[in-house]
Amino acid sequence: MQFINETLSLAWGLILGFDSKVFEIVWLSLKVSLTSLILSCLFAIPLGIILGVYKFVGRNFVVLILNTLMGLPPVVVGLSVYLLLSRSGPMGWMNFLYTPYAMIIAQFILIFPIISSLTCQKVEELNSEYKDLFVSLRVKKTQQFLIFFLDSRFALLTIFLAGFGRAISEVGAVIIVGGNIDHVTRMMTTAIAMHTSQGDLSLAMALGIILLLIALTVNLLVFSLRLFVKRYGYD
Amino acid sequence: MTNKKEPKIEIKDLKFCHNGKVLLCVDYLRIDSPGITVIVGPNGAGKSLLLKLIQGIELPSAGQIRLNGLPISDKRQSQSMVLQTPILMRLSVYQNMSMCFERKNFFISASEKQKIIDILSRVGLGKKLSAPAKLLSGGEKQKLSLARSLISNPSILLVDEPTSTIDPNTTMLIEGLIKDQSKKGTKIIFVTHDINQAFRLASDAIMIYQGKIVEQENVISFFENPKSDFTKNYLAGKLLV
Ligand SMILES: Nc1ncnc2c1ncn2[C@@H]1O[C@H](COP(=O)(O)OP(=O)(O)OP(=O)(O)O)[C@@H](O)[C@H]1O
Ligand SMILES: [Mg+2]
Repeated sequence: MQFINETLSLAWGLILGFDSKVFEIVWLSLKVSLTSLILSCLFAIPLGIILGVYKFVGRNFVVLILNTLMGLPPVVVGLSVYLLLSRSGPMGWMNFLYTPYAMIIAQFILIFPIISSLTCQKVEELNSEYKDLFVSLRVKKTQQFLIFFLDSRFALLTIFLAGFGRAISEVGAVIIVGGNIDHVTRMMTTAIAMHTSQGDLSLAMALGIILLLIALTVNLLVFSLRLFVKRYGYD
Repeated sequence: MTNKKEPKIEIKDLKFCHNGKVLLCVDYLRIDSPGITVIVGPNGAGKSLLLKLIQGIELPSAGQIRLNGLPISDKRQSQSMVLQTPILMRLSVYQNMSMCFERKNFFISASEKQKIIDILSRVGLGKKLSAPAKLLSGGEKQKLSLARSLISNPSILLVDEPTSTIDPNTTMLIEGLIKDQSKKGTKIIFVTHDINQAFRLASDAIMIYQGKIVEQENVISFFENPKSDFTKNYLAGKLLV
């Protein structure tokens, strides 16, 4: 117990003292996760809306694939991206391996299926709710797209936060393609793994606490969003 | 574009079946009067179904429907329908209007915006522009739903019991709006259970019973001298479903 208490107080010391090493890692993690998240949303949300609205040939197949990819083990993604980016791989010429870009690509692949299939589910729901309305007012397809986007804005925000949760807490993929290089690709999760194995527990603990606080904030946001949405009849 | 001589609405051999049961069967129906056509009939007769088929919300099992001489799927068709149960989006009252409104450009112009606000004020929702539509009262929802259909100034407007949950004063107001729209040249088909309302609005009336059209007459003969026994009994409050 003594030992845990000591580690904890050291960890808090690092956090409250704004330890530059700790916050460099936190900042990189946030940058990488948010970038991959925003990139994912840019492509996954329109795809989700299209999949939710149109019943084209092969649509069910795409949905099935996306749903399967949702539960993809991060290490497998890491391995695949590694193979793509490695010197002799098809994208080796980009020299992305062991850079933050590689981690962004890996996280993009991890989050993309989550965002697109959750968006698709939501839009499918909305489409069956609104299809009579759209025919009754002859609403144009382009306007329908806009309506789906606006109407599901709170649901999309929740989906966004779910994607963020997956990105920030993920370790398997980024450690393979990033390599956990100090000052370059050291993320919160990879640093925790490394420092724990090296016995530098206070630093690991400090990062763990921050990761927990981030998760807590995200969940708090989701929770207050739900309350807000209920209160204003947007659910 | 549309031929003046074409009937406003023409239906031939229309059938709507579900699980082998014929729910609606119209051999021939032609509506070419300019005014308001009222449809009456007991619950489950098929009134809403007929409107939905005319609007294209439901697809017929057989038969065809032509509006102003064109099939309903024609892009030039300008028609809208007020559904019996309003469907509102999780947006504000104003956005419920603006998002469905067929605008010229991507962004709504000042005059289009003013048009939306005017019509919302006319149905008494002028003070609720930014209220979430889902939190409106039942009657307010119906008013919003009606306003949303009126704004596009359609050539055919189908209205399914728009005043079923509306107070007497507002009912008068809505009847006024419907009559004004009719004077602007919109052909209106109006479903109602209120016989007095039917009498106030109609230029002609249609009685539907058990999925069939049993009477189509101008308003005077329909109410004073109905030909069909079904209509006689219905108007006398004796017709059973
Ligand atoms: N899409 C559908 N699929 C199957 N059955 C339907 C469908 N739409 C309507 N029906 C059935 O057709 C019948 C007529 O329904 P409709 O809604 O037209 O009645 P209505 O005359 O409008 O009655 P009310 O006065 O209660 O509104 C009902 O028995 C209903 O269950
Ligand atoms: Mg009905």
